[in-house]
Amino acid sequence: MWRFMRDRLLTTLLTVWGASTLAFLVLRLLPGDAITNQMLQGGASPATIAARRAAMGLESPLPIQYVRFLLDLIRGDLGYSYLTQQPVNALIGEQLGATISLASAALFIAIILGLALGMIEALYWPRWPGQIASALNVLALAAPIYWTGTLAIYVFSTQLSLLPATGSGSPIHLLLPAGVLGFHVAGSIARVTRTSLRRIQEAPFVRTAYAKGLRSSQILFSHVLRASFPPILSIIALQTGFLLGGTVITEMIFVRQGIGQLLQHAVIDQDYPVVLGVVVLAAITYSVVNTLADIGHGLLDPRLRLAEES
Amino acid sequence: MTRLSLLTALLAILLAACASGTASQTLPEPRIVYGLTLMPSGFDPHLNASAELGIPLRSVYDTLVYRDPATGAFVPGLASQWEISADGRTYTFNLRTDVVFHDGTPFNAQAVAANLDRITNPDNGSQKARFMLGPLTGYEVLDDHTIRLILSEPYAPLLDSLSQVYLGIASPTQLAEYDNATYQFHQVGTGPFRMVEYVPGDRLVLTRNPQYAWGPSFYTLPDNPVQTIEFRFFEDPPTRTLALESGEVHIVGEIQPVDAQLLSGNPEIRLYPVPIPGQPLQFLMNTRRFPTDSLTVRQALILATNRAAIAETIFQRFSPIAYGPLTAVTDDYYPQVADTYPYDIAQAQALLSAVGFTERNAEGILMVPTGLQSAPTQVAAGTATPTASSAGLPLKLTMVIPPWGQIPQVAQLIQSQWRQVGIDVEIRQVAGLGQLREAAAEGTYNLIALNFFGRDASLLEQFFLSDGALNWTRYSDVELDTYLRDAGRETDPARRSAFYAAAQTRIMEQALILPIRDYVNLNGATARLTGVAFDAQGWFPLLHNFGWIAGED
Repeated sequence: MWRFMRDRLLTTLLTVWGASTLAFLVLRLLPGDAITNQMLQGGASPATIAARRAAMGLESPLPIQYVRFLLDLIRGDLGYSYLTQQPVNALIGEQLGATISLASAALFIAIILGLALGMIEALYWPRWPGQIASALNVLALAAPIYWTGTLAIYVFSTQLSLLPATGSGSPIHLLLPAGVLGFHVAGSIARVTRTSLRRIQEAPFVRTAYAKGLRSSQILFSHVLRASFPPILSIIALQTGFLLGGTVITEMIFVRQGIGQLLQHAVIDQDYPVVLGVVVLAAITYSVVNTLADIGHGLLDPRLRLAEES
Repeated sequence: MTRLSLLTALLAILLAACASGTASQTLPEPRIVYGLTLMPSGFDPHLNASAELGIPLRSVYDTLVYRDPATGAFVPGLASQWEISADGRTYTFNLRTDVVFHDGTPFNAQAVAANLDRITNPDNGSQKARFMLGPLTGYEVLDDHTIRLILSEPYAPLLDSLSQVYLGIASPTQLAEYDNATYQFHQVGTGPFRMVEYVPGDRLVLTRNPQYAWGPSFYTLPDNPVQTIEFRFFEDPPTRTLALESGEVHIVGEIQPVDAQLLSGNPEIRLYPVPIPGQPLQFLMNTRRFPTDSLTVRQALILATNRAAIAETIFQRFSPIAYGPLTAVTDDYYPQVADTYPYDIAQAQALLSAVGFTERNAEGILMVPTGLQSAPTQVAAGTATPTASSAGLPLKLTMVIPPWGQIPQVAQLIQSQWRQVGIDVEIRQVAGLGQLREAAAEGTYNLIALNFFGRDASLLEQFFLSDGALNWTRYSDVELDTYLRDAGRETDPARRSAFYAAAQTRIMEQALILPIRDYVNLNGATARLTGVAFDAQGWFPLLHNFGWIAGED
């Protein structure tokens, strides 16, 4: 177990280092930055802009800037926004809560919905409940979030006046955005659930269970589901990336604050320290979630544990 | 057990995160939600450059002078009167004596001085306000209520600058207490509204200043004035309209023209189209790249553009057609430019064949003739782009555009219009201003779309001076430079107007831009909101005049 933890920690560190270095290089090699753009719009001369960039350490050679960035990163300091001069840590901190609640609510909905759709598809195909589940699954995978999002606002808020479309402040405000985002994340989960269930159902041990005379619900819940879970867990972990990307659009459509909005604006404004900060955060989140999924795998699948112990 | 506790923990996090959002105080009613269409990265008017920040903050601050939105005339604000020296280099302001900031600090000449110090200090990195002060070299506090601003040379746009929110006067007490990163959360002015809170990405809340009694002549208190305004960020255009219809937002700007057409049938919603002074939606033509280096080709392009069709289909007739480098509501707009280039395909084709474009390929696209000489270019501006030799190939122009303001739709329509005269267009869309600037620096475009807003015609300088930071036409002309420079220094309004008339005429004679439409901000508001009006710059609402018609919700 310790070796496992140590390996995972090392992988996490490597991932974060790799992602942030790549992001650092790409961002610095692109011409232009937030300071230049804003000052130019204000009417500043090129000489004034150069002086300002120099004052912020942007005229130093790239390797020096990189070492400075890494040393700060090790200390947990993500630097300052070019535009507002606020610490990036504070900017991320302000927005983190809103994104965590959106992402976790969406993930919660996605897991329930994805499992349900996948199971219905696997068990009821080709009867009508299976057909409907399959159609919803395709919609979740294929339709863009902004389309379903706008449609959801139009139906549930403007026409039916059931739910508020925009704003934050109460769990009610979370329902529509988390529902829409969760619906799209559910697509992949449903597909993997369906495939995995079908595969396990055909396994010899299931036939044995039937032969022993177990009730089919018993077989499904205590044998088939448990055995089909590892790939489902993997896809849930992999969906974190999609989930983080999806928050960008969801936050915009539903007028919510959050990391997605922060990132989108930082990219367009070329406020690079903020972009880098969010990349580091995303790399950490992704690594942590996948580590948790691996641990989950071990708990669910005794074969993996035994293989490691031997 | 593990599964259940995991679920409970998840729900607990969720609820905790939601609960943290409900910090809204009990603020006086009536309360409205105002939809902003962009999320400014910074909200400090002295330091940041966004136009969106002025929508709330125009009413948190007062300015030394104001501009009457109806006439454009300068009227007293925090300064009760002012005097400009004969040489145009000193401005003396007599300040009101009855004004207090929201935090109780008295307003006086020292307060104005503290603001000027903050804006002009290079360490603070002001992105806009500093440059609006032009050649300001210093000030003199003559007594507690008199201050004199000193310029190194005459600077005609100064009063217009001083009337804008970027030079709004903030409480010196607050400026001393907070630093550049934190002041934006604790802004204190003398205006009709106080700032209650700003939660980045979520909301900015204002509440009425009950002591306010020093507003400019066009501020009038309505019956049942709106007391509290919550600003939220509606960046997605379809959401704006839907939220307006469902009553989640009471007023919002930049409604899509097609949506506005639909809303105009709704009795509960009123439309307020506001023409914005400044530059129209325009394409700057690169005079140093083939084939737009030829004046004849540039003229043909304008003639081949059916602007009426664009205004009708994309802007649903909410926008007037633009003919020159300034919109019709801008100071010193010169109406005669309207006659220069009517829509005339035959004339466009005649001009193109006159410079040698006569052969067409199978798709009907004109072929670049061999041995065609590029028009001799003027004196070099910046790095010269060699005129590409594309002889024997189909005629193809490159157009670089930003994603905002319906410009992508306009570009597509132009693409199909120009196809009729045998010109192919490649459209390159970029993400934002920064990326647009990079494309401009590369110089591999024939047309590039960018326009700025402002009431004072001096905004032409950045775009059309030979050494202007945004001289993306790459045109360099002593005559045009002289008109623009002289206009900037001229304090006599009639003579200044004449210089700008000459500059506008010259820009269109040389066909440096393809103007499309005057910008109109389509605001939509619930019919229960009264007194909806905007300032002389067009963007900023006069929140003081906002009232509410009571009724059951």
